[in-house]
Order: sequence, then structure tokens, then C-alpha cells
Amino acid sequence: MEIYLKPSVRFVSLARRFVYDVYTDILKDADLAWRLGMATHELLENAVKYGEDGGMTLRVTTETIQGKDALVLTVSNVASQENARILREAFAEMATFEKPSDYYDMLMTRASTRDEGSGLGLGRICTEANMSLSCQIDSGNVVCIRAMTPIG
Amino acid sequence: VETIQIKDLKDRDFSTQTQQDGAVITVHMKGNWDMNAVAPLDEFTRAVQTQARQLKVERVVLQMSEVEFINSSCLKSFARWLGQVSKSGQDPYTVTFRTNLPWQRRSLEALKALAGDKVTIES
Repeated sequence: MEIYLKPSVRFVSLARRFVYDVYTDILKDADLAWRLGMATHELLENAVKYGEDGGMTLRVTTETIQGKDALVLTVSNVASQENARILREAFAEMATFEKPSDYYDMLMTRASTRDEGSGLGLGRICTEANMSLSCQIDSGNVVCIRAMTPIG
Repeated sequence: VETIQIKDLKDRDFSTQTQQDGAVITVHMKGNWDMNAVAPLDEFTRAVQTQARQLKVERVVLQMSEVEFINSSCLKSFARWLGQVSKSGQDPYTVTFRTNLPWQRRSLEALKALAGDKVTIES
């Protein structure tokens, strides 16, 4: 499944519901579909908040990774130079944590005193959706974030 | 006897209904709490916190079973509140999240870690 969306707040919840409905039907696993929908929502909201005008692409595929079937969610968009830098730093910080739950606990504590933004989205995907995350940013600041979870 | 005076949220997509019964404030939350709900929820939780202090309640109950979704920015409003509940002597009450939705429990467990035994999660 691949959807191209204008970066609008109103499309985010619509996309989450669509992904949830479609993958509840396909996977016959409401919890996995909810986790996929939540990750969709958080990544699209980040793309709306921090992306440049131009659009965002949502893709959900199944892939075989190291011999196991996996569900892969990809959101791509163009970010500003500054937001691309912030994203690189967020992923670098995430990589310093061995356990996703420790990372999320740290983000939650930080969020409790933070003025702007929550900074919780990536940690929430790792922990609550139990999905592993990776990020690629090319020279044109095209950001591509992949969230992956095993299926079956 | 002082009773709670709070302006509930009534949006097309999300709403609250607040009531007080003695030393307990109960907030029924409904709907889809996405980016449009962030600022209203932040203001609302601050108002509930202020009222809970003024009325010297023992417990605030957040009924979440009719919440379709809550985004991470809205979770932050609870994180701010619970962070203060855990540290401040001005917030001597407990906060209870009530839900029967498995996905919500994951979010709420992360919040509970902020305030330990001053937060409970019930079905």
C-alpha cells in the first residue's frame, strides 16, 4: 500500500484509521493493526510538523528480513536543514540506549518539563508499537523513516 | 462546600465531561485526541490540577475507555501534570486512569513510571 498525502493535520487521523481498518482485515490481528496505525499517526504528525511543504508518502509493505516476515511502515518527506539535523540527533541518541523502554522512560521524564513539542513519538513507536526504527536522510534532506515489526 | 468549576471540552472530535463526587473528581474523556486537541488538553489538565488543589480532593479519575486515540503530544500534557504530582507537595491526591483498552495500558504504564504509587491504572 502506498499513499501520497498533502502535509495536513486533518489527513493524519484519517490515514491512521484507514491503515488500522485495512490491516485489521488483512492481518486478522487487531493489536498489530493498532500498533501499525499508531506508528502511522506519529510519523505522519512529525512529517506535518517538521516537514517542508510538498507532501509525504506513506508506504506499508511486507518484507522478508533475515528469513522472517516483517511488516514495514515507511514515511518519507522533505525536511528543512535544521529539522534534518534534529532528526539525526534524535536517532543518534536513541542508538545509545540498549532497551527501547529505557529510552522511552527518559523521553517521558524529559517531556514532563519540556515547553515545546513532546519528543515522545519515536520512543512511543519503539516501545508501545514494539517496532524498530531506522532513518535515512539524503543530500536533499529527503527523510525516510522505516518502522518494522515481525509478523507471524 | 466548594464544588468543581471547570469548562469541559466539547469539540467535534474530542470531549470531556467532568464531575465531582465528594473528594473525587472524575473526567470522562471521549474521542480522537490528535494535534488539534493538544492545546485544549494542555489547558484542561492545568485547570483540573488547579481545581484538585483548591478543592483538596483525594483522587482524580480519568475514564479513558471511550478514547479512540491519543497522540504523543497529548500524552505530554499528562506527563507534565504527573511529573508535578510526583514531586510537588501541592498535589497530594492520586490520579487513576481507568480503561479496558489494551493499547491504552501501554501508554499509561509509561506515564505511571513518572509518578509511581501516586498513579494507578484500573480496568
